[in-house]
Amino acid sequence: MNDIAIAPKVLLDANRVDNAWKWLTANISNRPGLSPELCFVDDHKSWGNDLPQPLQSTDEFVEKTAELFLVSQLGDIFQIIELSRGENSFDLFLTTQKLDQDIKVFIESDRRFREGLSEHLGFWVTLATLVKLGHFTRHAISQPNFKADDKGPDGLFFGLDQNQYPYIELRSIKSSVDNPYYLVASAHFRNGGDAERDKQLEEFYLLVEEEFGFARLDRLLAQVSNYLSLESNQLIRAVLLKTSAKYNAIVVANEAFYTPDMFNGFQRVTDAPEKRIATYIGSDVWTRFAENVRNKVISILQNCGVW
Amino acid sequence: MYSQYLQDYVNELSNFAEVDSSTVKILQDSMGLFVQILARRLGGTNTPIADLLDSSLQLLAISHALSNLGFETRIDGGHYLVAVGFEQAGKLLARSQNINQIANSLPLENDHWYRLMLAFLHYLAGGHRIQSKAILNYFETSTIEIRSTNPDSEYLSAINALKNLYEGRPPVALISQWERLLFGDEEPDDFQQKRIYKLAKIISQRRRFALDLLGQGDEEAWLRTRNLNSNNARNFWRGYLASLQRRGYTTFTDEQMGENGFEDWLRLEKDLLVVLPTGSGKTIIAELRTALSLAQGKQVIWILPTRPLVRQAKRNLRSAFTGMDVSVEELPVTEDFMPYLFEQDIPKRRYIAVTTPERLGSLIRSRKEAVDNIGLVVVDEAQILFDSNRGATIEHVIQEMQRHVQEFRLILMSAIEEDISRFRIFLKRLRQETPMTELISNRRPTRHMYGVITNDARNLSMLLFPPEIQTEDGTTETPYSIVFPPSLPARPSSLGLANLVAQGLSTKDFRTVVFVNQKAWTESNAENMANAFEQTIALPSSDLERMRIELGRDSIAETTGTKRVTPHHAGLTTLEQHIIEKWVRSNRVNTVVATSTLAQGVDLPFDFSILTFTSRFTNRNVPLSNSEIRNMLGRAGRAGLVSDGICLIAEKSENRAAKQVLDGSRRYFFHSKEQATEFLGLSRIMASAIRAHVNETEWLYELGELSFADCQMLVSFSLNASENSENLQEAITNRLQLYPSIQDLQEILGSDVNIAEVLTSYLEPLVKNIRLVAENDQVLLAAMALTGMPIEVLKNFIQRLRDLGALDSLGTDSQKFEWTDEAIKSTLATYANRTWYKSLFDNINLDDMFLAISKWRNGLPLSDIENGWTLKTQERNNRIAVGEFFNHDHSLIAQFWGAVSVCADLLHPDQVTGLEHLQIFTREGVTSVREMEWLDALGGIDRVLAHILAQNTPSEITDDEVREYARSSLRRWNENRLSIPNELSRYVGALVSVFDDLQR
Repeated sequence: MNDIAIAPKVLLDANRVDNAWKWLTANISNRPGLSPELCFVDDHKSWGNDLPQPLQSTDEFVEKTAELFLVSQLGDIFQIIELSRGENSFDLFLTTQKLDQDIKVFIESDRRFREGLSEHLGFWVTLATLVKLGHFTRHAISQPNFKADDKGPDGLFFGLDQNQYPYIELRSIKSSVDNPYYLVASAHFRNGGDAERDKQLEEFYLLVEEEFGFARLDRLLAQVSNYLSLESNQLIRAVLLKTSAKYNAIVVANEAFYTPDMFNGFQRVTDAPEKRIATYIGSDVWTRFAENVRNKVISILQNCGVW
Repeated sequence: MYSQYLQDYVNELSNFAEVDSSTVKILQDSMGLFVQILARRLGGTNTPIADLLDSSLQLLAISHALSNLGFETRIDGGHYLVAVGFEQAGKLLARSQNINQIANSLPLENDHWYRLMLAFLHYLAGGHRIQSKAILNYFETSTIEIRSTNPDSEYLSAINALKNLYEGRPPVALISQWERLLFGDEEPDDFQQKRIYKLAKIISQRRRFALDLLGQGDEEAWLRTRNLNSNNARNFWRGYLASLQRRGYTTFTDEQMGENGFEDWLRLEKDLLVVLPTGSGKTIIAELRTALSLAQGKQVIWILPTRPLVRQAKRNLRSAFTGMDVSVEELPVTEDFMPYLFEQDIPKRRYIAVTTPERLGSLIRSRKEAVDNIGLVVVDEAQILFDSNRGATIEHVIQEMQRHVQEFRLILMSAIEEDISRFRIFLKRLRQETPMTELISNRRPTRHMYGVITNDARNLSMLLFPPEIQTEDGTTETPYSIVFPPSLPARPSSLGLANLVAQGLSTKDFRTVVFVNQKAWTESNAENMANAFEQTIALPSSDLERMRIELGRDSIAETTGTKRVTPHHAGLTTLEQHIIEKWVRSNRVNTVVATSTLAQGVDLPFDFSILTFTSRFTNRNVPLSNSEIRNMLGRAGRAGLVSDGICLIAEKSENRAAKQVLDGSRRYFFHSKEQATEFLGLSRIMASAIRAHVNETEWLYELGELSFADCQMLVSFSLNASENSENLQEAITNRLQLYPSIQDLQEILGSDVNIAEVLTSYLEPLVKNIRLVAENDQVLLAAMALTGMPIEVLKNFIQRLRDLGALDSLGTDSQKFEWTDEAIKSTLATYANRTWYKSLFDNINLDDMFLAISKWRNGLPLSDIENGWTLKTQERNNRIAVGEFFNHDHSLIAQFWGAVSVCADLLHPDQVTGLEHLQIFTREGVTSVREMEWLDALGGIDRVLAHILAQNTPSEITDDEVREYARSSLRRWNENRLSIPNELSRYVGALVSVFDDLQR
């Protein structure tokens, strides 16, 4: 009762939230088109316009990433979507005096935080990349996956273009402190063998062939449909017009491990190359970057007196 | 997948979403996926390629949107389409899931289970009740193992709650999560649960809507609008609505309710024509009208074409009226000339009699007063009115009801769309001013996919038409096809192609019926397939023991059944056919190689039907009629069990491209249905009578041109119509004019000719000839009128009986049979040159036949009969011929024994002759009342076992007591197997199999 009666604690004011989003969209690289050499869209992310680079464990990157993490971890998804649609920014606040204990435990664990951070990065990178395309009159995105071990896709983006045609993109996120090559797909699968669970492309394959993760897909779609706030007949109209989802395999790891070969085997997921998207979010050193972000997050929370 | 109503649903959803319906491909996507998953399961490759994820996303989004809309009847079709999409791919995908995978995940996390649950909820939310039942059945069968290993499983509580939702039975307390979700009032936060909660709310709203329309809560006012004002009627109707609710019949489709929600047809004063596809819930419509008639205090008769259907209707009606003081019985009379009465009296209270038309005819002939209080007659499968064999009988029976009972209403029910206008005309002619209303729809509860199996080079291919309205002369741009790896011999046969596909399907546990042209082929092909399978299963020993008792040898069903494939044809005993059908229902057998007789029986749950022939060779190749082809192919899919049936014709490509073979088959699948133009009912017989010159004296002896049964009907009709009448011409003309089919004939011929007068000009001389030959022998004339048998035969019988004098001189029952057998045999031998004799007994040795019939009646196993009677040289063919004789010809031939009974009865009207039951005993294969009663108590198909049990019945039990004794013994033995007497210990297995039947 006391918590509710006391005024909420502002963690980041609207200006700071707005700046973080603008920094992201201003610096993140655009998604390229399909290259004739590859069977997928190779969206190898870089930051900065003049001197593109991977995520750096420097103050600027760390601070903005920490702020974005806090917004997507503690903020209202409706407000985030509105922000991404160019509407008003918002104050990020806590209605309680102290941070939820579960979240605190999560942040205190460097491993859990790093894995969680990759989900948040995947969320923000997808949102910013797609918004920058400028195709959508309306869009929504599912929240970062708080239970990364759930089977099925980790997130979903749903946009409507000017003709009210839908654009749906599923994302699956894997992060690794080592070479992520074998998290993406096993050699067996890449060579035409059966798919296993827990490998990124193989889970996509199982989703397409055996509807592995169908229930999760439903939850994501329902969530996003809700955020879209369409009338029932509008939603039905959109999906009757055209439903063609894209598969975004997002990998977060050291930039040094990047190679397009990592996504060999993607051709088994769907017949259409343009529906296969490989997003590589590299950082100078992923563990260091994540650790720095974690410290920054704790510092912001401590400064606000909620830690 | 080619019906107009599916397109209507697409249009409905498109209109709602304001999308051009021609661009909506939801059905195509759904079928494409179905074919793709099927292809992968069978190891083939498919085109066009489908995308499961895109389809799932589309369906999920529509599901989300529809659940947010609440109860709106304008989107019922949308619910259906979403459910189809979820179900078609979902059921195939779920086949790969084993019990451990189910046990290791929760229902909401089990992708396949969740997908099918959404299908279930959408079907129900859109009012598509029977389709949802198919999924509920799937849930129940797929979790049978869990019930024993983990009774606390969340699946079981989920299924119980879903079943309660289906049946409209909210639990008293909301204990489980599923009960709260489906029946609670607190909307969950979780998106998945929220969807389930919202769909369940829509289902509840729909249910309330239907019950309100049936007057629940204000029964008095509702009944007042139907001129029923008594307390009795109100209490009865209230009880019936409670029964509906108890059985879960609380959602009705638009087709069932009609345009004005029951108002047009659920009324006492109207006749009703119901034409809905099989499985669309016709029965509940007739049941509602039955309940209303019972509320009025009237009795009801249901007429069905076969005994299995009679038994099934009896079971359903008993369940419907349990605890409401309504007696539901089979009409306790047989169809014999001298009917065997299983009960002496028809109850006076609320009573529903269920019967075949022949039995009702028999009752009207022998005890007209029994039908006095009938308020409603329901004719199910009313297309038998137009059947060439039985049409005249049913027309005659309804006509006789009309003559004897003034105030009854008539319901005709059928699934045959092309007969609609003929039904209308029939009702109009028969019922004239009685108001009539209709419930007609072509919305099928099961979906069919049509296509061919053919060879494309050395590849086996399956091609299906895309799911849109197809025409006979269309062409297929992109068929849905599956190509299997090269495996074919250079010159494959159509049958070989079918067998290969059936084998592949069997290994993946699809249920398939393959139709072949000849009885022997069903067996040889079942054997070939069985030989190709390695894995064997154990068949129920009780069923096997039961068959061995009847046959005295192994059944072919056992030999091949262990490999899950069996033959099915009319030369197998009724018991073998019954056991095979039971094994198919329980999924022990998943492949049946059958002749077309399987298409005439009760529905079985097949996924695939494959037809290997489209013409039949007798003297020349005669193409099968389209309705016969459709009837066989239509065995795939069964309402409430198999929602999607795949109907295939196997055809060699003969150097054509596979697509050409597919388009060539359009004439079988999409030929526009034509109204039949042939003569029907009594008119068919009359038209044949003219051709046969029945007015000539010679015809009376030869009975040429017409079938034996038609001759009987013609003679019997003519004599009855003219009975006690001096003015023969007027009497016959007047009677003829009462028959709708004769009026049809009149219309065809136009007003220049008075058809009744023309027919009379043939029938009057016939009657005169009969009277002349009979030389005013009243016994002979009465016997002719009752039986329609050849006049010389009857004359001979009567002479022999007269020569005999007192019947006591015949001695024991056994001696009576000996005397009768000899009398019939020598009489028949006398007329061996007559046309009718040749049509019945051509190439049959009378001595051998009479010996076989004697063995049959004396309860010898079938193998004893087969070994002593050579109808065919080859063992298999002989076995089939003997089986066919007892299944088919024997009931006609047994009428000669019935004729002896009739003659004896007419000669000794005040005496119990002891010959009354000759016909039924000879037909059913018994020699005494106690054997007959045991046979009836066992279900009518265990002849040898009935003899054994009769022999073991204590001698102090009288014939009057044996019925109750037999029934109570079976009940007691079933409840406590240890109570079965030691002397019957060898037969316990067979009895267990019988108990299993009786409990169903």
